Amino acid sequence: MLLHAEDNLLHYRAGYGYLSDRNDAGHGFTLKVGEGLAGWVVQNREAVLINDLHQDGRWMRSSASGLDHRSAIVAPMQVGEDVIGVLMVFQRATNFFSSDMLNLVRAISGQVAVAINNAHLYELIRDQAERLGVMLRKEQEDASRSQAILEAVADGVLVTGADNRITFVNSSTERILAIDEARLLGNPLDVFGGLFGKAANAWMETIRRWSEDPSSYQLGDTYAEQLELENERIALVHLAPVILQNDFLGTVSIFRDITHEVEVDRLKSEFVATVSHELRTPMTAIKGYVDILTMGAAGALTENQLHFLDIVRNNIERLNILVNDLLDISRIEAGRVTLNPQSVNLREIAEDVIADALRRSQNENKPMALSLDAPAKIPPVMGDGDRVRQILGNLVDNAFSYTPSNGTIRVNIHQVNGEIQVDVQDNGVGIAPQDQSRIFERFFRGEHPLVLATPGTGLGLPIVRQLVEMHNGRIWMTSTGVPGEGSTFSFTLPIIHNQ
Amino acid sequence: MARILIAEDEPDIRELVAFTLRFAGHEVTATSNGEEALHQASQIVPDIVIMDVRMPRMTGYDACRAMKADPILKDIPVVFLSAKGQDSEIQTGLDAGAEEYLLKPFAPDQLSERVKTILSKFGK
Repeated sequence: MLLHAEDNLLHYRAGYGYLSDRNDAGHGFTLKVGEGLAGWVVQNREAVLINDLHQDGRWMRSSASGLDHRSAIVAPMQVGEDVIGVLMVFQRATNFFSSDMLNLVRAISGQVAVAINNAHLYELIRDQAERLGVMLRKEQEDASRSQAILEAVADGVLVTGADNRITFVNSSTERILAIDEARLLGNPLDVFGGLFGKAANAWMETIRRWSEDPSSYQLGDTYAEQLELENERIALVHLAPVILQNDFLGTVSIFRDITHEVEVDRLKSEFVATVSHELRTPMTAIKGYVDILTMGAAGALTENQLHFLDIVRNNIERLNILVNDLLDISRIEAGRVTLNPQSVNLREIAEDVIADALRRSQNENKPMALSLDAPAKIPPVMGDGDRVRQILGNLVDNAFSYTPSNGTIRVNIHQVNGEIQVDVQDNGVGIAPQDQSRIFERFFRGEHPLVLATPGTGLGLPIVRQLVEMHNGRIWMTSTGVPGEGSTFSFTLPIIHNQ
Repeated sequence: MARILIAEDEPDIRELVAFTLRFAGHEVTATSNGEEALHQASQIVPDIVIMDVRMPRMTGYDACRAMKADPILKDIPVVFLSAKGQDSEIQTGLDAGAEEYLLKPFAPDQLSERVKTILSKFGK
């Protein structure tokens, strides 16, 4: 009987002799340690010679076989300190075995124990070898599947190791960057320095920084850069580090050929610019002749005629704003607007903008309480004065347009850490919660009657946002959406730091 | 009253500018491109020239540069009146020697005002 490790029970495993011919020889028979004669031997690690089993209290007869046995020798099978089972020899006659036979069985059980143990070990090693083999094959399968995926994607994939050397490139990388794999594999990243010049510097610098200090990488940090290649194509590179706990294992860079997208974008901007420009010529004629008629330069007009000409002029003005905004946004998006950064005093600009709004209030006969809350001495910000005026002017203009008569508009300027924050707060119609996420989208306008009644293009806020971001600032809005509680638009601009 | 030369290829705008300035009491000569304007300028030696930028045969920029290179015409103030309003375009106009760069669409009364101011600055 062998002791099974998994249930710590003695199991009948094999028998030979007068028992072995019988079907019920003991298969499936189990004993606990300490139970029955075999259990006693295992527990006491002692071989015993029994002259008559019927007289031994430890003997437990199994269903049929037990009846035949009278004499027995039972010896523990030990390998070192471990008992792995018992060897039992039976005879039908009483007083059959001698102490010499006991010694013999004891010696045999030792040998059998070693043999069984060896067989176990062999099985164990064979199982492990098989498992390792399966694992290895699975890894090979995974690796070739990954390789196939990486080769199949249209984007270029480039992997570097912890030493910043290139360990993998797929064929798309070769195609997009127009470089042979042989020039890349195993080489340090610096090989790109000579190929792409300055454009690649920031990309390589990021990889270097991450490898020197993996903790500088924050989860969710993404890095993207547009590379202008020697072959006049443009690639967008996305970079991510491979970090396990705090160990830097390398980086993965994904290259996408965006030459076509950039070209389409350029054509779109060019188209918008051309169309807008072409619109200005007929607008000039319409506006000019309407103005001449209104001036009375072509003869006196009736009140009705003047009123209708006024409507034409207002609509021309609306068209003019649309064309200017379209031109502005297409130029900003095409990267053709460059800032002229200088020291800007936000307080002075806010005073001018509020003065403009007060003039508008008088001209339109729409009373509005406008106030400025700003410290007398405010640190200057770095910005393009005209563009900063455009940003604040647009926000105050919106506040004026979307606040009914006798409303309140407050401009608040204050310092928050290294930035100046400007809030434009009104108590107008506000912005419905479902519209707030879209408010900076091009051409989006709310559906409030006051919004619909106000001429506008839906381009003002997208332009303002682009301009703020070009200044390295941030812009956001808050509104309960309840009419009368209004909305607050805020933006920040970085303070100039004295060197 | 001053002698004003205008150059504008769009007939409707040309007539608009001419009408506006005549209405303000000036004597106006109208041309439709830079080359013609340059020729007329030498003939009549105007007090001020008002030009479009984008014109056939010779652009406003080139006509202005040619005037500024001419000893007789170089002191005549040139005003550009253009739909091209990008910073770089305005800068090119001013670099060519223009006194002022006005954008289309324009308000006729404001154009008359600007012309009056420039003329008095030049003592005309």
